[in-house]
Amino acid sequence: MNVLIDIAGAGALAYAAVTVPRNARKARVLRAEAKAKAPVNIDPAKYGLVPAARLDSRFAGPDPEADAVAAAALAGDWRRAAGYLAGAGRDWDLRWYRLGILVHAAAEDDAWVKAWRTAYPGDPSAALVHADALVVLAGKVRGAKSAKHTTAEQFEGFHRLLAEALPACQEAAWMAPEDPSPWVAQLTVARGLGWSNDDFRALWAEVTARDPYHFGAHASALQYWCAKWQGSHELMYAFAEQAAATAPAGSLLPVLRLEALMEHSFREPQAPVYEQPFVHAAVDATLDAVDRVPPGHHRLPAVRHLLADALFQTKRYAEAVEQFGAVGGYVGSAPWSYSADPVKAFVFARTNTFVAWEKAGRPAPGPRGGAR
Amino acid sequence: MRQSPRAAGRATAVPAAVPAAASASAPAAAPAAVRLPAVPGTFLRAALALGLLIGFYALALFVLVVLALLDVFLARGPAITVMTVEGWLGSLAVAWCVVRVVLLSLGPGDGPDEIPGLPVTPEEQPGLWRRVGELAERVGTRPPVEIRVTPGAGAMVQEQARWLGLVPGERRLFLGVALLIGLPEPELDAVLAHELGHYARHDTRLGALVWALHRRVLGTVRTLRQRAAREEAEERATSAARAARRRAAGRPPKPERGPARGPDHYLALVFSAYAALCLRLTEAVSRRQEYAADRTAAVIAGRDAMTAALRRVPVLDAMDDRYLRDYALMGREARLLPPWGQFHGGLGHLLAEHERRERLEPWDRTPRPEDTPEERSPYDSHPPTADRIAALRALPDDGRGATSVRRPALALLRAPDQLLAALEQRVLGEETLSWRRVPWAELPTRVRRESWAREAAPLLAAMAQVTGPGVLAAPSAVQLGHLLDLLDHGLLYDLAGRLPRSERAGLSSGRAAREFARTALRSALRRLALLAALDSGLCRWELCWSGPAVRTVTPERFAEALEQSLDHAVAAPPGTAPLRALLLPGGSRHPSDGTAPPPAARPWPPPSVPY
Repeated sequence: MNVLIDIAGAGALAYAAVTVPRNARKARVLRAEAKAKAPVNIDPAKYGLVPAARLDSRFAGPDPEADAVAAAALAGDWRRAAGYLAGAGRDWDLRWYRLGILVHAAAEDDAWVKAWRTAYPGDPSAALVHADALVVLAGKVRGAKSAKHTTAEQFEGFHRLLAEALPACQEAAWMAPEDPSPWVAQLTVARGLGWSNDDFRALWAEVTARDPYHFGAHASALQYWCAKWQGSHELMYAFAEQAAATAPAGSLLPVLRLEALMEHSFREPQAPVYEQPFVHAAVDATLDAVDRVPPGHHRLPAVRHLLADALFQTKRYAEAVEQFGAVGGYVGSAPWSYSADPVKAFVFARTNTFVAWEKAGRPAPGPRGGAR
Repeated sequence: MRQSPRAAGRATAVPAAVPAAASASAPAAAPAAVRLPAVPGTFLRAALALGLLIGFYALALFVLVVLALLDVFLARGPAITVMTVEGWLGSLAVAWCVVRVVLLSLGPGDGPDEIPGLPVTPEEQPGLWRRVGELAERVGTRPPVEIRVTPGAGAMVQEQARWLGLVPGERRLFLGVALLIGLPEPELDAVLAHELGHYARHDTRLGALVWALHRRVLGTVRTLRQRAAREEAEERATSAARAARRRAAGRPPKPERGPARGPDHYLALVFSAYAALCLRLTEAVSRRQEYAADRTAAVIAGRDAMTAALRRVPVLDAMDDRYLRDYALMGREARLLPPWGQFHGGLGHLLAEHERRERLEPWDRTPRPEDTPEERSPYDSHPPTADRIAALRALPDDGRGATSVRRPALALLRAPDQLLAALEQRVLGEETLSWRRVPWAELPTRVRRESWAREAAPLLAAMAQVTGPGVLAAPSAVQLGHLLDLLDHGLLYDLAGRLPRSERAGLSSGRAAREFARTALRSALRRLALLAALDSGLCRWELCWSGPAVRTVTPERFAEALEQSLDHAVAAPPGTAPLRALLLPGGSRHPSDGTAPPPAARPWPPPSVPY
């Protein structure tokens, strides 16, 4: 028996002699790795930034007027909503933007739209809100997950609502022949119902005939041309390039190239998307476009979010710092909204930008154009 | 097939994998068959099986000896180091595994598995017994003492021999009921003669020995693998627990190591290789036995009858599978069965179906199984059917020709219906036997009615909450009429809000929640509409023995019209007229015809239901 105990003891000692140094060695390596990977933290207040806990993930930027109109509409005041929409005049993209505000309220509760349509059955704006709200409602019923994670019940509701939305859009278009908005709404229907490329191009011609540089329409059409819907990377890049290249000065359309880059990188996270040769020029063009539009432009916050991300991805930290500073405390926009946790994605990019900028000695943005 | 107990000479039925030639042998099939490998004698076969069994124990001893030698070498080293002690301990662990698993355990399941089937006595079925007796006499062997009718299209013999198969024992014959139903008499004779041929050449006697070998070797491999898997799982669990503790203590987790593998894992590798060798050798022998039994059957029942049987049995097997799935078990969700004796016997209807018969007949003569390529594995217990047919063709024509009389083998039986019913009683589970019996012609309708009624039940319950319980007992057309009345009254969301909600629907709010409710209502309404169509005789679902099992008879363009009118019925201002026109011709159009809720009884317009 003693022999057995001796053997067991010797075995335990031997085991310890082998494993203890080995584990200690591994732990050292691991600590070093963990230190390298540990999340970096910065003090947001030091740079005048909004701390993570107070970031607003609902909107791309501040728009108190829009919030007030939406709240009033939900409370039943459709007249204010009608006035807000009419205030956009013939700036069709602004009209589309304001329509989006109203439509999201209508997709939650449409009592005020019904009241409006009852009061003015022939009002094209009311018909437009009703039609586009059906499109947005269809999207809400479907959910934003991929087809694999969407139930048959969700698809049934989605398709039924899109089928209802299409004639409603056509009616709204018939009531206001000049307005591109009902046609832009149909772009989403076409995407959801999987229209063929040729059918989509015919629809697109109706949009561009009414407004060739409509920002919202281009953003929606770019989605259609993505590989995840009815397009491909090639078609998506081609569409973005064509739109950005032909846009007049003062248009924000050059940002479409950055949006295409973002879609590509989400689809293929491993691909060297931001190392393509045209990326720097695309970022420069977008920076120029942002400089040219008035500071309160309604599309500016969304463009800045994309720009900040592209600058971070291309390691142009000095310029990224400016954009992160400009977007303030809002994160409800692409590319952050594509992540499961938008605030986390945003804070990650922002923090690393500032850390790298600090490391480089807080450089000022370099001159654009020839320098890069 | 392989795990069948003591079945040395197994069925002519090689199920599922429809046999045929590998492409290489197809053109030269006939000449290839001439040089048939001879079956080793009984003694040789016994020696092979016994040798393999002894080899198994020798392998275990060999592992032990190797370990002992290793220890001796370690001990003769210059000094006793940590390495030496580790080596000793390791070898002890492996040796313990060998002793524990390989030598001491007998593995699970000591007796042969009982094959479900109905034993038939000579008194019950004198015809079948007489035929088997005659054939046994012509083959020149003892008849079995027991005949058992089993489900499926297989036939097999077994023998409970003693003393490692050297002394003959009790013989049993298992006969698939699909063979009795589907084979003409001469072909059944061929199948029986093939199986009896296994007896004659003592294939079955060695079955016990071969089976013991398989059980021993495969059992050991299985145990070793289970132990290895359990060890690995434990290892993972402890490391996960450790990592969790470290995380809780705020320290970084340890680096991932590959799972440590115990001695069981490596022993399993060694013994798996040996098991593969055993299977290769023994199955090679049993494949040769099949050729020999085929030749016996050809002599007794005729060359062409045996060939025809070889071709027909795989087809029968596939048809039997399809029959059970699509016909016999058609009502499994509604818990309905065909009449007594038809659970297996209904295959006869399928076979008798003229169209199928036409398609089946040419296979008697055309070399169909030979045309499709087939996987060959050294572990198959049966040779490919194509090769067996080719071997038979190489025999001289005995002039008996193929069977032309289409008398099914069922004619051998006395009171076949009783036998089929008794087989059902024996084979089906208690739960299945408690299902209701329904005539064939009613089965498809009843199945649909029950499942639709079940799916529409939540909607009816919601209606009962609104209008009172009277609606539950009404015929489906009246129920549908009431429901459409309610929709006309604008009660869609009121009703839909009472239906059970899916998980996703439960997460939604506002208009989206109402849309989910609308989807749920439409889906239940569709079931109710189909039920009404079925009850009114507008649509029929008929049993069909050719093509798909159920044929739907509907008015022209009914499916599209139904979907469109359902869409209208659940639209924002409801349009129930199309659905009424489609399903309730001459029915109540008026919302308040006495049965609908009096409008005054409910607040009007309906209160908005909180979703």
